Amino acid sequence: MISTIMRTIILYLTVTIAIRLMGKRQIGDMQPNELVVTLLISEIAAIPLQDNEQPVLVGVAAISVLIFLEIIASILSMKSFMIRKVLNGKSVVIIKNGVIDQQAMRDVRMTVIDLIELLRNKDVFNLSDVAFAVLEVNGNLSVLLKKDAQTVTTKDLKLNLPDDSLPLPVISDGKIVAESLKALQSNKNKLYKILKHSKYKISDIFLMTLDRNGNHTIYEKDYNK
Amino acid sequence: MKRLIYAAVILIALISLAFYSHFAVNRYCNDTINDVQNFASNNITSDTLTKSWNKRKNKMSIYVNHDFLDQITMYIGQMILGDNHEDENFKTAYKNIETLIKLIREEQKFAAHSFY
Repeated sequence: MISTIMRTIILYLTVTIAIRLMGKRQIGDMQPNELVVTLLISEIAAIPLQDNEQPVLVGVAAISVLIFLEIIASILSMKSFMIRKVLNGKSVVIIKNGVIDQQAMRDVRMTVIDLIELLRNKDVFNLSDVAFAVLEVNGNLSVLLKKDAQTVTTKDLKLNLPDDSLPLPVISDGKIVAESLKALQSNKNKLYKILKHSKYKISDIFLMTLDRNGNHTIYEKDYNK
Repeated sequence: MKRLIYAAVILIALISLAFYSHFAVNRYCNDTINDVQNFASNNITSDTLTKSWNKRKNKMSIYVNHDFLDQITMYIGQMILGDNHEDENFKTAYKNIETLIKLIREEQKFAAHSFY
C-alpha cells in the first residue's frame, strides 16, 4: 500500500511538472500535437500506477521523452512555417465574403449543422451576417461579421472615453493583497486614504478592487450566512 | 530560450539515465550470475548468496520489471533448499536464473526487435 502511495506521488509530481512545461492551455485550445502528448502522458502515467511490477522510472523516462519532443516540436513550429503546418495543420476559411466554401467544409469533414453550432457558440444566429469564418487548427471558429451586423463601438461613435485600467483585487477576505498594490503602483497609505472615506474596516471587506484611475468597488463580508 | 534549456536538460538526463541503467543492469546481471555459479561450486554460502541478491534486487528494481526479480528470488530460494547440487530441482532453478538474467539483458539491449 505504501509503495502505491509513493508511486502515485512520484507520478503526480512528474505529470504536473510535465504539464507545466508544456504551458498553460485548456484542452480545447490545444494544438493537435499538444493534445496527442497530453493523452499519451495520462496513458503512460497510468501504467506504473496500475501495474506495481513496472518500475516507476520507466514511466518517468517515457513522460520525459514526450515532454522533450513536445518542447522541440513547439520550438521548431515557432521557427518554421512548414513544420508548423505539418505538426499543427492550418486554418481553413469556411465562409469567404459571405459565401460558404462547400469544398472546404468537405475537406475538413464539417457538416452544416456543425457550422451553425459553431456560429451559435460565437453568438451568431444568422448565417447571412457572416463575412468571413475561419476554422482554426484547434477546432475553434473565428468569425468576422459583415459591417452592418457588427456591434457599434465607441470608435464608431467617436466618443472620447478615459483609458481602461484593469481593476485588481487589493483586499481579499479582509487581507491586503500587497502584490496587487505593487502592480497598481500604489501603497497601503493610499489604500487607507480611500478606505477612510468609506464606512468599511479592512476586516469587514470580502473583496475590494482598485484600478490605476483610483476607481474602486467594495464587497462587504456577509456575516449572516 | 528557457524552453530550449529545459529540453537540453531533459535530453542530457535521459541519455545519462539510458547509459547508466544499461551499464548498471549489466553489472548487476554479471554479479548475480557469478554469485549463482559460486554457490553452485560451493565457493559461497547460501547466506552470502541471499544477502547479496537482496541488496542487488533493490537496486535493480529501479530499472527492471519487478516480475523478473521476484522470479529470480524464487529460483534462488529453490536452489538454496536443494540439499544436493546435482539435484534436478537445483539444476532447473540454476537454468531458470540464467534464462531470466538473459531476458533482463535482452530487455536492456539496443536492438531492433525491442522497438517493435
